[in-house]
Amino acid sequence: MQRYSLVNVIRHALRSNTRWQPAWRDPQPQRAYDVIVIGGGGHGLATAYYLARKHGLRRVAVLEKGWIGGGNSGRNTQVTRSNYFYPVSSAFFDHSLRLYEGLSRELNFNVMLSQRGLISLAHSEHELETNRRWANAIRMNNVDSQMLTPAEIKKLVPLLNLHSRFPVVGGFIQRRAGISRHDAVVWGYARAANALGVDIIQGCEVVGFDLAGGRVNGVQTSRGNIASDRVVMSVAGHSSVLAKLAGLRLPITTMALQAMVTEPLKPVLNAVVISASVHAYVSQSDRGEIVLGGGADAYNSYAQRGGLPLTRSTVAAAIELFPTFSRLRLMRQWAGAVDVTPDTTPIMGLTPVHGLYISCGWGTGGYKAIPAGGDTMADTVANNRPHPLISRFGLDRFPKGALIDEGAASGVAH
Amino acid sequence: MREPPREWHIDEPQARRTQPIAVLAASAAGVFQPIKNMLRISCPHCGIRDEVEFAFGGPSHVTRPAFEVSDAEWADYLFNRENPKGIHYERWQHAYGCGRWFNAARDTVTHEILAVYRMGDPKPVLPGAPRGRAP
Repeated sequence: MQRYSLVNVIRHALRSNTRWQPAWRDPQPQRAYDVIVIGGGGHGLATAYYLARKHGLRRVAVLEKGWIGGGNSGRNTQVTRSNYFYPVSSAFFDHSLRLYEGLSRELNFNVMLSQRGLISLAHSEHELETNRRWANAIRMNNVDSQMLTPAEIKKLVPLLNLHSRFPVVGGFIQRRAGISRHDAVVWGYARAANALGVDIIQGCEVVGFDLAGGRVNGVQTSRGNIASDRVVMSVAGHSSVLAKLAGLRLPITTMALQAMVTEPLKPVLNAVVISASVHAYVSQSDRGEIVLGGGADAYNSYAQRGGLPLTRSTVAAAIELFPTFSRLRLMRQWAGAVDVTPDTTPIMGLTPVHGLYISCGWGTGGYKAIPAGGDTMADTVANNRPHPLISRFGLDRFPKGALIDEGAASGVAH
Repeated sequence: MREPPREWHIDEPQARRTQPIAVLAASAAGVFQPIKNMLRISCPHCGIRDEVEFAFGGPSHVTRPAFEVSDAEWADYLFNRENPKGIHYERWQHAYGCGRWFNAARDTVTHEILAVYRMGDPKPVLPGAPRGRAP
């Protein structure tokens, strides 16, 4: 792998930048691999990377039916945080945030993590009480959080309208939270995995599994059959469709979660602002665009485009909080097909099919979990048992009734 | 109350397209105009209305199992969902209209509503090509 460094930038600049190598190869699929990862999003690529780096598995393939990072990894709002209520969620998502904190160095690729703080707003005394309980739970989980008065919020976010239709009466901040660059995370993992020998095969759709005696022996793809006795499914919104090919039914509903960006501005907003009540979240990307997100459309959808009633309510909520933004034009609006579980907690680990592993149910918050998702899945596959951090995220929690209802606990979907 | 019609309503294709965002920003800023590109659902009792009048009720035809079942079967009933890429048989309520529930068969890729039928009716047999691909 060609290292990215100041010395190399200068050296290549002197040669008119004509000798840069592609960041990853475009290999033909081999006939067999030690591990096949289905899905070339952040989670799939991170899983392959940690399998190669931490567990020494070099014959690993990532199969992607489109192009890497073209699904939800390219459709999220880049929010990186770990302000969860339950200890089991907090431990996992804070592991992820810690990995994010060292990711640029680890991957030799700038993921542009900006820990500018994430402020959750309260619009009533009751919501403030809930926020206080939540903020204290986060501290008990050994993650940073701090209650803020309206004056403190105003100081951090001068453009925020405290006297909106639902006035802001307080809130709390996780200062280590922020945003990072989603494409950089995908490309960084792809480049680093490629350097360790992982085959990233794009334009290769899995159309079936080779199963025998409750074991997986390989996959059937649009580019031929590939053998492997360990297969990881990491396909987000299409998890139900893929799992059905292996005879599995999942507690997943696929919905359209949309986001949008305005035309770029000079820096005006140095925090991520979330309001669960009016359901909008707002941040400013490093390119200056104001990034807006809201809830998911109510009905099942694989369409990767959001319904306009929800776009409208998100925009209305955002400009009520930031009246200044009402004159901005939206440049783009899009949606991802997100895989929502009944308890808004991901599903990770083993499946009833031996050698078949699953990582799904990331719902509306998979981006922030990419490093920890990849790290723990790689460990799970290498040792054929759930990593301790994800032992309660398994499919078996549903028959046991051991749900982790983070959505209900923290009052906001992920 | 008028008895609902016995036959299903078969609608025209209603694939949604994105709308110029300027219209949307204008409507959010207070210059209200009707949003044309959203689901248009045919309530069996009231006729075609906009999506915003309806509440989604999840999949239809999910049958509660017998009283004595294993934990796995009970969890399958409670949590597991068909979640198809293609035709989805689902419940809707005309919440801001007549308030009544009904079923719809809708393509989850094109969002085309293929049939609307009453609660308790069996799944309609739908003519035409297999679904689940955008046109």
